[in-house]
Formats: sequence, structure tokens, C-alpha cells
Amino acid sequence: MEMYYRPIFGYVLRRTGDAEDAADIASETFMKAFLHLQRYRHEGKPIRNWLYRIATNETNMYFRRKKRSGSFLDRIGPELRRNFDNSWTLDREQLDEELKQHEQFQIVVSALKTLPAAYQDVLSLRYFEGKDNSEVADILMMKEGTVKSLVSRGLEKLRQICNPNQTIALLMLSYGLI
Amino acid sequence: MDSFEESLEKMTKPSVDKLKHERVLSELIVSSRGRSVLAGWWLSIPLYLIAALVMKSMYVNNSGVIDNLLQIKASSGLYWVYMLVIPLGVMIMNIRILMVQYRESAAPSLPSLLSVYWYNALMILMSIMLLTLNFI
Repeated sequence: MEMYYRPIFGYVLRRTGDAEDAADIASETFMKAFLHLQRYRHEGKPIRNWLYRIATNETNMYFRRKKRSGSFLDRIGPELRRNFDNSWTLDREQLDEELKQHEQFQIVVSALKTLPAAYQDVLSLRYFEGKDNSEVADILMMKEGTVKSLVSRGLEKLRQICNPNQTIALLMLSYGLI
Repeated sequence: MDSFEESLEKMTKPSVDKLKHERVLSELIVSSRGRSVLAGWWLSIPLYLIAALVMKSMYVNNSGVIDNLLQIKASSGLYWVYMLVIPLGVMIMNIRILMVQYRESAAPSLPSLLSVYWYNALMILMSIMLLTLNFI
């Protein structure tokens, strides 16, 4: 878990732009991965891509439900939760600080979140995680051609949202001014 | 590659260096393996009843498990709570847990699911066993 948790947590953090959401989703991802480790072995693909796939599904499911309750961290009971919170509080401060230092990125993430999930999946893997089209296709279990077309259409949509006027609106949105 | 695409690639992104909660989380995940949301001790009441019936039929002359069961069914008002309501409740809740896990985990193979949620499966089996006795 130690080898893979940080990259996957980083992916979810960059995808959501929120440390609390990232902790919920990453913990759920690893819980599911732990549960289905046996299933992974039969597929024989890189474990990192398999974890990215679970994390992507969990992220989409998390935002579809639009709620935090019911995640793995909510199910662990008060005593275990206290243990987790002790270490998480320190991490959270650091992560919030890290997010604050990347203002432009936050604007792009806010814009990205307004797109349909399929575009969010390919664009975040392609441009935030630096994966090439074949890796994205493997993670999302798609054909490379489908990824290419989603990237190109998604980029166009993102470009439209990120025009200067809309950027100001998104900045105001991210600071809770509108 | 156009300038917008280039700016997306070159833009600095938040990174994660050290995570203190990582170790605690891995311990939590390992310890949660096989944990049931519903405690199984409820089933100890009807199971105790069965054990008592078996013991009685072993040590009392001319007495059988079925006869004793029918005797309790007729005399005890709580029989239906112990032998029907509790096993049925336990069974429904555990089936629900398994179904939710199955759906949320993208339909894993049955052995993979049961290797983790064996306790819930055991509770369902014991409940069925107790419920079957009501039809004797």
C-alpha cells in the first residue's frame, strides 16, 4: 500500500482540488482494492493502472452521490476515527497549504469539474498525471481512439470555459464570492 | 500542441510528498477485513435454545428434539421472536450488506467477496438453519 497510496492520493487530490474529498475517496479506493486483490491478479495488468481505475470510478461515484457520509472513514467507528484524525489533521494543513499555492491549477480544476465525467477522467489523467493516451486507455478500459477524441473534445470545452471572462467568474466561485 | 494545451502541461500542480495518515489508514483497512456491521451475538439466543433442546432430548428419557421444539413453540410467547424475528432480521441485514458490497465493488467473483465477508455469509447460513426449524 505504501508504494501506491501517495500517487493515487495525489491523483485524487488533483482531480478534486479538495484534501478532505481526496482522503475519503483514496481510503475507499484502497479498501476496495484490498477487497478485490484476488480479482486483480487474474487480469495481469499493472497494479498502478488498476488502482487508478478504481480511484477514477470512486471519484465519479463520490460526486454522483454528492455526499460525504457513508465513506470508509465514516464506517470505522469513533475510536479508530480518532486515531486516523490525529495524523490526518497534520496532513490536511499541509495539503491545504499546497493547494493554495497553485491558484491557476485550482481555476482549471473548478472549470474541469463542470464538464461531464468522461472528459474529467481523460483530461485529468492526461494533463495532471502526465499519462499518454495508451495508458489512459488502459486505465479507463477504452480504445485509444476513443481517448484521443475525448481529449480533443474535452480540451475544446475546457478552453471555452477557461476564457478570461469565465476565469474571473471561476476565481470568484472558488473563493465563495458568488 | 496549441498554447492552451501547452499551458495545461506546464502549469504547476499540487504534489504530495509525505502523508502521515498513510500508515494509520493501512492498519485500519487491514483490521476492517471481515468485520461485520451487524454483531452476530443476537443469534446466540436461538442457538442457545437449540442447544438446550438437544441437551434435554439427550438426558431426558423418551424425549426428542422435535417434540421439545413443538412443546416450546406451544408454551413460550417469545418463541417467534427468537426463532423467526431475530434470524430473519439478521439474515436480511447481512444479505443487504453483501449486496451493497457486491454492487459497489463492481461485481467481484463470489470467492473473492466471501473471502472478506465470510462472517456475513456464515450469519446468513445460521439464520437459514434456524428458520428452517420453524417448518418442522
